[in-house]
Amino acid sequence: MAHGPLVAAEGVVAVSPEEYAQLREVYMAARELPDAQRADFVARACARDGALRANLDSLLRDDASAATFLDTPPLGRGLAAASITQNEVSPTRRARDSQRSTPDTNRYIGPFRILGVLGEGGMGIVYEAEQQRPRRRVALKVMRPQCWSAQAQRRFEHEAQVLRLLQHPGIVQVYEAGFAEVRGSALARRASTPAVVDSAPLRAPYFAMELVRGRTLTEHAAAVGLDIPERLRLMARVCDAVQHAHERGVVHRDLKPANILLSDETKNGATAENQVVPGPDRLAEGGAPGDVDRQPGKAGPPSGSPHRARLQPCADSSTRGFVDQPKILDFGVARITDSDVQITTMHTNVGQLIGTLAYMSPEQVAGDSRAIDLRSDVYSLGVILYELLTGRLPYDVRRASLSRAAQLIRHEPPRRPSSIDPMLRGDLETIVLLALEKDRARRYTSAGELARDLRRYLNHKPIAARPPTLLDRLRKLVARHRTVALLAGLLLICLIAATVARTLFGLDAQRRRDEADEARTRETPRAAKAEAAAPP
Amino acid sequence: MADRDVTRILQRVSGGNVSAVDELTSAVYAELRALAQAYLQRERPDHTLSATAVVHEAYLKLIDQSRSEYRDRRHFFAIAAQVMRRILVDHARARGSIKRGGRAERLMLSEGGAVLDDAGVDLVELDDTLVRLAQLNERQARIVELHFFGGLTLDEVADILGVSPRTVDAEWRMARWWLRRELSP
Repeated sequence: MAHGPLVAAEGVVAVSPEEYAQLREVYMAARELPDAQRADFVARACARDGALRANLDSLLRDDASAATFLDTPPLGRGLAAASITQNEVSPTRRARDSQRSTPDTNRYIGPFRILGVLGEGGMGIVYEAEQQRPRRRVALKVMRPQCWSAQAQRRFEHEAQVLRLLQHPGIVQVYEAGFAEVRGSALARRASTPAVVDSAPLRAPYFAMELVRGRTLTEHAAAVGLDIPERLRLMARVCDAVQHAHERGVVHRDLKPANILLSDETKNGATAENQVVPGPDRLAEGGAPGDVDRQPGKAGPPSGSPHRARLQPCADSSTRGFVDQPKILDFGVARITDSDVQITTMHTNVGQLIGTLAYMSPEQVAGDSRAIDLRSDVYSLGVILYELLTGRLPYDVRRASLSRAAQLIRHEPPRRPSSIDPMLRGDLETIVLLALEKDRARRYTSAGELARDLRRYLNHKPIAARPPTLLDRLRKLVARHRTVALLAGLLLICLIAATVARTLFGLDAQRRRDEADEARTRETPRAAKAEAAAPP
Repeated sequence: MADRDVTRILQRVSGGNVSAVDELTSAVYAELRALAQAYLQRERPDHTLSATAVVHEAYLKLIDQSRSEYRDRRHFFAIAAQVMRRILVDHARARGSIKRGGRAERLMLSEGGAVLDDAGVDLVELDDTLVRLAQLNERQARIVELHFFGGLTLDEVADILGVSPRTVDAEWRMARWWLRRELSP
């Protein structure tokens, strides 16, 4: 653009350093004043300076608006760790107090010392942190702050207690959960309820969890080039873990490949001992997809090599150290925070939302939180299984608008897996499609059932699922296209009526013909007999 | 670059050794560049790592925490933000010149995929405009550098600059207002 000095946008005159300093001074003073006094102050301060007035008005307008210009840095931004104060629900108050005098005090969230950022998503940010007692590394997930009623807080604490008790090798262990109170504009501006930023305290729920370094299920499958039986075995283990949680009354509600991790033991082991932090290899990792020469059915021993060869594009570098026990992340978190129900009302990146939406069940997409139960998880498992087998999603929601995506999920039948890979025709397709039934009453009744069928398939035994009969398919077709079905039905009735009528008349005619024939044949033998009886 | 070296350079910077600043910058540059590159080259958007992550990660990697002091930390982040600015602007410029046959013209950030998914700010242009802001108000330009390019929170920025978060917030809003006005086509 031209850096012409004079008139910029909004017709405001550009300023010299002196004018800028003056504007700054008046602005700083004005924004400290209560609204009622501000107008008066501005009028007095700019009495003889129209340009100053115009600039100040524009600046104050901008200040008051929820402007987001430059809010997200080129590489994105995490939630502000430093703007979370220490007033939170914390069972380890002593540990915190002992740390208060150290210079890094403002890098604490609850009793956790922040060491770095592991990642972030629409719901919040995940830090690598150190818990004081017991002393261990944790993954600390801090959700977007919002207002919490006392009742909602009690419910949160109750649910958090349930999550702590959820212990299974396939579930990332939640150590602790609590609230961090939020101050500071950076974080508050990102709150999901911007209107209340100034009036009520915002609380950011946090979860301290087992720290798992590794990669997601789909990344792993692609990087190692797992074959179908290996993928199914992993998936059955995922189902086992889900079943374990379901038996304890916890529904995940946000199952997706990004929430299923395969731990890299070489990394996790090293971290516990030394002060090793994620290096660029974590960013660059991915391994070489495609063919891999390795022992079938083995995802690699959990230990063996202390260092993972960095950026070495051979099969070894992608399998070694990865244990074949998938771990599910964020169990119950969506329920605690109701995030899946709120999700459409939040200021999330639409791309991200679609990514989550793709794994949601029709009843979740419909936004009916009462209809969400463990069968919603079964559906999500179905989508993950579908993706693991075909490399695609059952519905092409990535490019669809939100409403279109929701419509696809709720009403359209999934693309048949065998249409993508003919090898999948048969039992495997039947299993996938049963998990993806739109009507939850028709799905597998539990994740355990799905796991059992996967294992039956792996062991070449007959599966429990039956492919839908012709009648089932017809029923679905009718449900999907009511109007068309109605017309078709009418047409069918007409046709039937016509056929029946024709048949009846036809029969009648036939009968008469038959009678006539019969009469004739009765005549003929008699005549013949008469002829035969006649004396020569 | 061994961790200890960078830690030592950082200590010299904190001690007021001006020539050590350049040394630190080049040491940090390589690391940040590697981290940022890895990040920028990721194709899929679901593996988000932020500037915050890159800068913090570089810090954790390069600096021996047990031997460095708090003021070292501040120096490190101040320099890291500067370096990030250079890396990102260079990256944008390179992309711009590839796409536009040698001319660094307007580059929409969305071209970088989900990584650069901000509201379509031209980083090269922003960089130039930031130089002019520095002539009007040095501190505001630094705040933009730390907050936008460095991915540091405003509270962290306040800490680094040694001013109150409230002041930083006001300065940031004014800087942003001015930049947007200047950058509007």
